[in-house]
Parts: sequence; C-alpha cells; structure tokens
Amino acid sequence: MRQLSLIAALLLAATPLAAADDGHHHLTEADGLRVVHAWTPATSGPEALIYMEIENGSDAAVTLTGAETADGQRAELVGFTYTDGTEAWQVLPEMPLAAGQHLDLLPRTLALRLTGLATPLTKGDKIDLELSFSDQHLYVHVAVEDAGGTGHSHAGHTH
Amino acid sequence: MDSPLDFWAGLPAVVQDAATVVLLLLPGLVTGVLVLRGFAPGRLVRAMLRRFSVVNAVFVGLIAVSVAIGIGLTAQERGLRQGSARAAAAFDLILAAPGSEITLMFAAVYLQPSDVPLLTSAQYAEVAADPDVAFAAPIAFGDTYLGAPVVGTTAEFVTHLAGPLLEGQMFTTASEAVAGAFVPIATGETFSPAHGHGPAAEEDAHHGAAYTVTGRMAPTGSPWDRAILVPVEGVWEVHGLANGHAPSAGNRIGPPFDAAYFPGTPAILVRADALWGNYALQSRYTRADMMAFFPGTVLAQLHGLMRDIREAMSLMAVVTQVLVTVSILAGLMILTRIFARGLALLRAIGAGRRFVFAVVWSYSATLIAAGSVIGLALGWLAAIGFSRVITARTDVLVTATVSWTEVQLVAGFVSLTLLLALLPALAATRRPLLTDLRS
Amino acid sequence: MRPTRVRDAAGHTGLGLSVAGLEIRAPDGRPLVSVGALLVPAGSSVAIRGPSGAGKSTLLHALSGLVQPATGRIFWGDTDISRLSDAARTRFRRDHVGLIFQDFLLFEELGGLDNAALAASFAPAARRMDLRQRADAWLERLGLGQIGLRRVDSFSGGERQRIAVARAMSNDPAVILADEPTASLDRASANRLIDDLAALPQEAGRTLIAVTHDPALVARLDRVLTMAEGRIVEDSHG
Repeated sequence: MRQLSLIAALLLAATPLAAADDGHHHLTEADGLRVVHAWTPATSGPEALIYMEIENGSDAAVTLTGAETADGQRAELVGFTYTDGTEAWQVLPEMPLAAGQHLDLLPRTLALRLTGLATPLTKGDKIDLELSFSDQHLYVHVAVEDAGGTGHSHAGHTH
Repeated sequence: MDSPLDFWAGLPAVVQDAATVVLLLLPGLVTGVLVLRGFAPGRLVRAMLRRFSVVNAVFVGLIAVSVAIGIGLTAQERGLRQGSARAAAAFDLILAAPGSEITLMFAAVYLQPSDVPLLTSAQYAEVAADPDVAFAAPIAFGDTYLGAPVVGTTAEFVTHLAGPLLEGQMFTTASEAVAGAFVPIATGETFSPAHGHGPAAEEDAHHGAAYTVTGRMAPTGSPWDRAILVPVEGVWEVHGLANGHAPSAGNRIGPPFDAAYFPGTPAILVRADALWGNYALQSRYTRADMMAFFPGTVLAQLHGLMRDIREAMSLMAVVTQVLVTVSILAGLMILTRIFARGLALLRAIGAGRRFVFAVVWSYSATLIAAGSVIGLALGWLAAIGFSRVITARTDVLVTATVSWTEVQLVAGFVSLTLLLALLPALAATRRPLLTDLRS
Repeated sequence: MRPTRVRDAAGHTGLGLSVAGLEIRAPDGRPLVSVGALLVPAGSSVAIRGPSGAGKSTLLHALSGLVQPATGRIFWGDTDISRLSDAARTRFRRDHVGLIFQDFLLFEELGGLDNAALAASFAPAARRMDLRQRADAWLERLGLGQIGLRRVDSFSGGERQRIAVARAMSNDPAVILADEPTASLDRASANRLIDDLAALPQEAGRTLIAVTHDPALVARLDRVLTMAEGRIVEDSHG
C-alpha cells in the first residue's frame, strides 16, 4: 500500500511529462484534466481538424490556449461559423474551462486546427499532441480515422 | 510569392475566378483563332444560319435549355443554402429539452409547427443566471392567428432578431404584440390567437384572450416576417398558466422571471459576448436533461447532404448537356450535307479545305455560343423564378444569382463543345467535290 | 509557280492552254476523255460542243483542275496543273480561273454583291478590298450596279447568271471556263449574256473556253471543237 502511494506520488510529480495513459491511447488524464477520444479525419491537404472530449475534473479553472505536435507544429483552437451558407472556422485564442466543466471538440463545432502538415494523414496513424492548459500541458494520442468519419472509433465507450 | 502556386493563391478571389473563366475558354478560343486565321467567313456563316433558321433555332434552344438546367440547379442550390443560413444567422445557440436537433431547429428558427417537450423553470433559471450568458430569450411557439405563428418571447429578442421596429412601438404589456414585416394585420388591430396550427387549430381555445398590435418588425428574410411576436407572459396567460412573475409583481413583463412562476418554454435562444462563449455554452448545456446546438452546425450538416445530391445532379446535368451537344453535332453533320453543293462551289472557285472547315466550324460555334449565352440567361431567370416560389412558400428569402461557378461551368462546356465541333467541320472537308458540285 | 502571262499590246494578260496525251478515266477505269494534243493561244475563245455524254464537261473539269487526269499534261502558260497537288490546283483556280456554271450556283441567302465577291471571304486579306471593288465594278458593267445588295432570291435567271459572271471575274482571271452558261436562260437573257461573254477575251486578252449547245454562243467564239465519245472529232475556226 505504501509502495503504491509512492508510485502514485512519483507519477503525480512527474506530470505533465508522464501523464497517466490507459494503454489504449485514447484516454489521457493529469491533475484531474481528462481527455478522451482524440481523433482526426484522414486528410489529403495540409490541414487537419482534431476533435476530442475534455473534462476538467480538478477544482481549479484552466484555460485551453492551443496545442503543439511532437515535431513542433502549432495547433490553434477554432470555432465553426456558417455565414451566408459558407463554412469557416474562426480562431479562438483561448477557451476557459471552469472546474467540473467539460468541453467537446466536435466536427462543425469546435476543433484544434493543425496547418502545414508535410504529409497527409492516413487512417490508423497516430499524432502525438501536447495540449496547453494555462501552465499545464497534457499529452494526447490523436487517432486518425476515416476521412468522412464523424467520431472516434472508441466513442461511446466509457472510460 | 516564389512559386506560381503562391502567386495564384495571392491573387484576389475575383481575379482568380475571372482567370479561371479565361483559362476554361482558352481551348475553345485558341481553336477559333487557329481555325479562322486569315479568313472572313462571317457572311457565309450568316447565310447558313438564315438558310435553316428554324432548325438552327431548335438547336440553339436545345443547347440553351440543357445549359440552363445546369445553371439553374447550381444557382438555386446556392441561393437556398445562403437564404436558409441567413434566416438562421440571428440564432446563435438554441437550448431545448433533449430530442431531435433538426426538428427543434425547424420549429424554433423556421417556425415549422412541431410539438416538443418544454424546458423547466429550474433549467431556464440556471441558464439565465449563467455568468457567461449575455442574453437568454424564451421562444414559446405553438399558437397561430390566421396561419401566422404567434410566438412568445422578450422585447430584447425582437430587437436582436430584426433591429429597430419599422413602425409603432414595442409591446409593453402581456396583451400587446409586434407583427412580422409581412403579416397582413395593421398596427392597432386586435386579434385572438388559436391554439395549434393548420386545420387542427382550435380557434376557440383561447376565447376571450386578445392581443393588440403595437408595432411592426423590419423584414428579416426569414419565416419570422410572417409571425406575430408577443411577450411570453401573454402566451402563458392565454394558456391559463402563471405568467413568469409573482402576483405581487403586477403587470410587469420581461426578464428576470421568477422560477416559481415560470411555466416552461420549448426553447431558449442563448448568446454569449465572449468569442469563445457560445462554444463553451454549447458543451456546458449538452447534457442528459438538456440539449444545446448551433443551428449553423445543423444547417451545414443538412447542406453538406444536399451538396452530395447537388453534385450528383450537376453531373447528370453535365452529361445531359454533352449528350444534347453530341446529338446536335450529329445533326449538323447531316445539315452540312445540305450545304454540300455550296461548299463544293467554294472549293471549285478556289477556297481551300481549311476555309470550308472554318465555315462549318464557325457555323457550329455560333450555335453553341448562342445556345450557351441564352442558356446562362435562362438559367438565371429560372433560378430567380424558383427563388420566388421558394420564398413565397417558406418565407426564407432566397436570392439566386449566377455566380462565377456557373460562368465557369458554361465556359468549360463551350470549350469542350467547340473542340467537338471540329468533327463535323472535318467531315465537311472530306466530301467528294465533283459529286457535290453536280448534285 | 506563278505562270508567265502573255502580255498583249494593250497590256492585257492571258494564259495559253497546251494539252498533250490527256487521258481521263472514270473511277472504274473506263476511259472518259482522250485528247492527243490541243493548243489554245492566250486571248482566244473556244466553244466545245457535242452530244451529251461526249465528255465535254469532263474535259472542262480537267482543264480547271477539278478532275485529275490519269495521264497527260495540262499546261496553262508554263504551269502543268496535272502535276499540282489538290491544294495547289485549288490555289491556281483562286488566282487565275473564273468558273461559270449552267445553274449559276449562287448563295440564295446572300446579296448580289456578296455572291459576286464570294472569293473575298477566303482571299488573302490584302486582296479582299480589290476583289469586292472588282466584283462591284463588274455588277455595274453587267447592268446590276443598283441592285447589288438585294437578295439573290429576288433576281431573274438572267440576272443571276450575270452575278455569276461578276463572281467569275472578281479575281481578274486569265482563264474563264464556262459550262453551258446560257442553257438555263430565256433567249433574250442568253443573248445579252453572250454579248458580255464574247467581249471578255477581246478586251483583256483572257482565254475563254465554253461548253455549249447554244449556236448563238458558238457563232460568237473564235474556234469550235466538236467532241464525240470522249474525243475531239472536229476543230474549226469561226
């Protein structure tokens, strides 16, 4: 029991560098912040929209400001607009998330937008993404799904 | 700006569009320049056009109709998409009891009759008190007056939807109303609403209850132009419910409402001031006992579905256009036989094969160009006509215009068919000269 | 390529014809016309007559380059048109030959002047104005100056054939080849046309060869060739 606590303490101390991972690569949790079902449709162009579910289980408010891939590409938070029948995404510099709140990044609603992809994403690929929440960072694995997909292949499971 | 692609991406959209039209027309234009170089076949072509004016008119008409179908289809689809999106523009975020987003969008945004469960007073109170919510208006639909929806809401919503009133004053008591721009009811008139809608509306259900119209909204290009807006308190009172305020509050209307006297509402329009606000609220109120959705998102999904259908229809329209053109070119091959003697005469008096080729090609090109230009105009007229019909039926203001997309479609069609027109021209030069001369 | 023209005292130009060993066959190999030798000096006029099927029109088509002979030579000046490509023969007709047909072959939808100046639509741009002016002048001379813009379908047969003559003359040809030019006309119109045709060789040194049954036309030309069964059986000077 003492040993387990020690491991837990070490793990907590090591966050965010080694956030807890469920082994399925679709749940990441650190300091009460929880991200599940991060996914993106396969792309052919240089742009990818990444979706996920974020829960702030901590007792403090956090602010999502964006993300970065393992190779240093910035991803910005964007919100969907539909003006005059034309689909567009507007950049949201920040998104506060109060304690106990959840935020769903969904197609045609809210997303993290990665621009300047060197190679297209194909189904089955994984992207390592570092989310920036105020002074915290959370690492997530983003699953690449079908180009016309509407959700994470594990969505609907409970974690 | 170093690669041609960057240069292209840096050009203004209108320059890109115009350049695309030119690029699409280029094969046809280059063909024309090459074929006609050094010749002046205009008079002969006019003679050929006059010779079979009826047949030529039929050919031009067929090309025009097939082009118009393609144009009308795409222009109409875009007009409908833009019109329905504009009609929903004022509806940032809608909260309702869990159910179908599409049903609720049609009911709350486009005022299509629908029975939906209500949000409770506790839910409304929670939303109204949310510090991120700048504005929360109940939208209580269900009653009608002579077919016009009578919707209960707040004065703030009326201004949010249509801006300053066109005439008269905002409602200030539960028995006053503001009419949509095109509702056939005059300011000062009094009416009694019916419960429900259509033939099932119970005209006498609200017997005795009456509203007086005090003002009229500016047009919004949406079904709200044919709706009558009343204070939500009025709707509740008409249904014999508490009116959202404690009896001690007297006759006051508008927010804040007293949760203890709030009977419920089918939908709440919510908006936040912060850029991120609406998105945060959407996540926040998407939960087991409530749903929150952006009408823009639902519309975009519906339109995405429509786009697939449109693309299939556009493809069929293009195939039809090409088939019509191929049959017309086949017809031209037959028609050039009737010209064969004249063409043989030209050769006899010293015209080269290339000139005969140029005459026949110019003749076909004139029919194609005339048909395409008339088709563009017809398509535009058809789109305007359909738009009027749709606007009249749905009250969603649809304005169909011919855009670069349609012009580009026609430019591509013209180029392709001008190239195809080389075939009958070639056939005309391969005919036996002496036989034709003697025929 | 441009044939040497014979220039007479008045400065008029024409092309002489020299035919040798000419054989024209039908596509099935059947002989149609056979002419051992024929010389027509520049500036002279020749009538070709004979029963129908004698090969008169076929000979005329060969002289204009519309029919390619199986063997033999057809020289106009120093140009052997039997050795020219189809395109070169077409250019030769454009530059040196005026053709007149029995049934005029006019474009009904065009005006008189546009028919007469038809060659302007395919002539090199530099010559177009000349062609139209010459066509106009010929219409004037043939008595149609005031009605050049009228549509052809309003003209009588005689007027039509005069428009066709103006068309044949619009390129200032050295050679005029006419196939039964009076056969579709009433007597009065035919006589008027004969006057016009007969004047052509005399005044400008042009060479005129006309296939005709019309004794009135035959009588006005310098020389008469009679054909039978594809051969010239009689050659007499008028």
